[in-house]
Amino acid sequence: METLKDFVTQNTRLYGEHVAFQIKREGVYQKFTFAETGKMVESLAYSLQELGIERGCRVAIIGENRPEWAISFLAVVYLGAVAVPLDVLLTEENIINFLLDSEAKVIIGSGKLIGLLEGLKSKVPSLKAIISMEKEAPVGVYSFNRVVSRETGVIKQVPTSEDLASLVYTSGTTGNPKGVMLTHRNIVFDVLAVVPLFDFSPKDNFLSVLPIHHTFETTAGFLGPYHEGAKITYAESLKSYQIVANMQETGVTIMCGVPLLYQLFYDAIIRKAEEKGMVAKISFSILSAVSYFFSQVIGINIGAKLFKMVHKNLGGKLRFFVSGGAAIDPAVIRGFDSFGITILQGYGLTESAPILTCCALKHNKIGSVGRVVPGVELKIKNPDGLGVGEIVARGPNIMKGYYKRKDLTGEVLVDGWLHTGDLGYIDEEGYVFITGRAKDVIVTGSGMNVYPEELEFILNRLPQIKESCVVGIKVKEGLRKGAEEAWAVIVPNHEYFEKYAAENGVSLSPDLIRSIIKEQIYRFNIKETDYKRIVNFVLSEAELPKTSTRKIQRFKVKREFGLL
Amino acid sequence: MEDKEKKEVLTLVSKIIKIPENRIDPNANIFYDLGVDSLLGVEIFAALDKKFNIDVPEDRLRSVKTVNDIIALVAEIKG
Repeated sequence: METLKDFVTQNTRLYGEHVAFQIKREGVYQKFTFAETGKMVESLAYSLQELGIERGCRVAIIGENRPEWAISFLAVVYLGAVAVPLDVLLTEENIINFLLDSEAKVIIGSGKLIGLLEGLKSKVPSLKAIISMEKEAPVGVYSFNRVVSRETGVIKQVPTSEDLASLVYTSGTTGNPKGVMLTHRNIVFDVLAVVPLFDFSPKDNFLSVLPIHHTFETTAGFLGPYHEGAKITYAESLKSYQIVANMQETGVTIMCGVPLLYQLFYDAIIRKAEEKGMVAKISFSILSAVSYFFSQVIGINIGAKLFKMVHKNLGGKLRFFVSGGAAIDPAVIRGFDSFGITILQGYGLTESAPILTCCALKHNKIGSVGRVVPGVELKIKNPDGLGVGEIVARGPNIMKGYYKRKDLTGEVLVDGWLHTGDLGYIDEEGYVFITGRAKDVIVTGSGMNVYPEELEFILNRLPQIKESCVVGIKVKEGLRKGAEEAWAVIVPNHEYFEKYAAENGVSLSPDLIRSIIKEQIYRFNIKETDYKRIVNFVLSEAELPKTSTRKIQRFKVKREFGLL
Repeated sequence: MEDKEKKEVLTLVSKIIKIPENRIDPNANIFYDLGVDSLLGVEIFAALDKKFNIDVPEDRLRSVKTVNDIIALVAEIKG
């Protein structure tokens, strides 16, 4: 098994009539078997070839989680072309930016976006064709039916394991795009390394909830189960009651999610118990305590027996949840554990395709992100007295580099070691614990990465702002308590404000400056993808602290402004 | 939309994002000022579905900016 193309040929043969993908449409689950999927993949790959797509050409894919997305991805890599998965929430400006950088020749998009995509042809010179994921398409756009149902001819190119399979943009929506180059070898290795940890089998029914363009979902929620002949059910929507309905209707056994989603589930379970009155609430608390005692002290988990209703509500077949993207509150893992539901936590970066470590069913330590996956080397660089240092990793899943960005590649890949920028330690049993970040990236509760430099780049272009520093602040209240959000420390451009005051005949005051900057940030937030927003800001009259090389010292800024 | 229903929307948002009602300005930007992200936004829509027996499409999240926008959206869907 060397390339992702092999996944398709093998599975069409091994699991022909098993259901590969299903999704509820107009009240009925539409099913796609492995055999049907294989045919559609071949046909779409051939159609792409006919459209001039050759080995190495980039094909962008943008859409919600659905079988057509998966089939499109498989077809692109089958042909030896490079899939460029794009976030469905990107603004038009962001989409253009990534299409220009990747020089995508074709874009395959969901029907909801076709109007927007049609308008891009004149703005993206490389773009030759648009394919809709829908049965029907407007004039000038190829419909999905047309490209997956044609007679297949000879596909001339065959991918090799060192060919690029995917180009994943992790940042740079408004400037300096950063595309992670993942080869077939990177992805195939990570899928095959992770599959045994999760014990996937053709009996599994995997619920796909996380955005499918996200490498975590692509590897663990799509290619992993697909490789093992499991069924993938695409959630109808992200509304938690509909996720639960999909679980009940289809008997879901596994789901990957982000911490916030599990927190929402957990809160809903607790709320339901509380709504049933004081007696039920007390009984629930007692059962939780008893279950926790049995699990931790006696070593037997009786949660499934004590909380049959919780299991029934989740479809009755659930084996476990997987959490990734951001750190999950151990209290939520323990809470689910007392119900007899295991949450496995993993860790990785897009740059490592993405999984580096993961808890397994047989090796699960609450609070840790598991042991390193077999075949990958992981160590702590420059550990302090407590063994905490930067996590670095080397192995077949580590990216080839950043597309067109040798400068950035050289910063994170040193002698084959990926410098993750995350701080952590490894305990005596080999479990990895994450303690913080050496880099400045802000990870939101939904697991989205926000790069301060990227936001500063835009803020600093505003005439009202002389300089800025964006930092991550832990949320202190509300549902997202413990997650991070972006705050900015801003030095106003007084020259601008003095001119403004003179031109408008107003007197300059701190309130006026604040209100004008607030308005600018409000506009900035509306324009950006929703997780890339500045949640709050503070003004500074003094220049921000800098190193001798004029780099802003974020930690000092945080300390000076009480943002720790 | 009646004042009672407006209050119900505010209560519902407050419960989901776990910020007291009296600290939520209905004109504040839910993303910018209240820290709602797309996943929480979808959850608010899910709660509205149940509360008012309607179906708020997820893709309308892009057009919602404030609690007042949510109130207007519910009124529009309820007809």
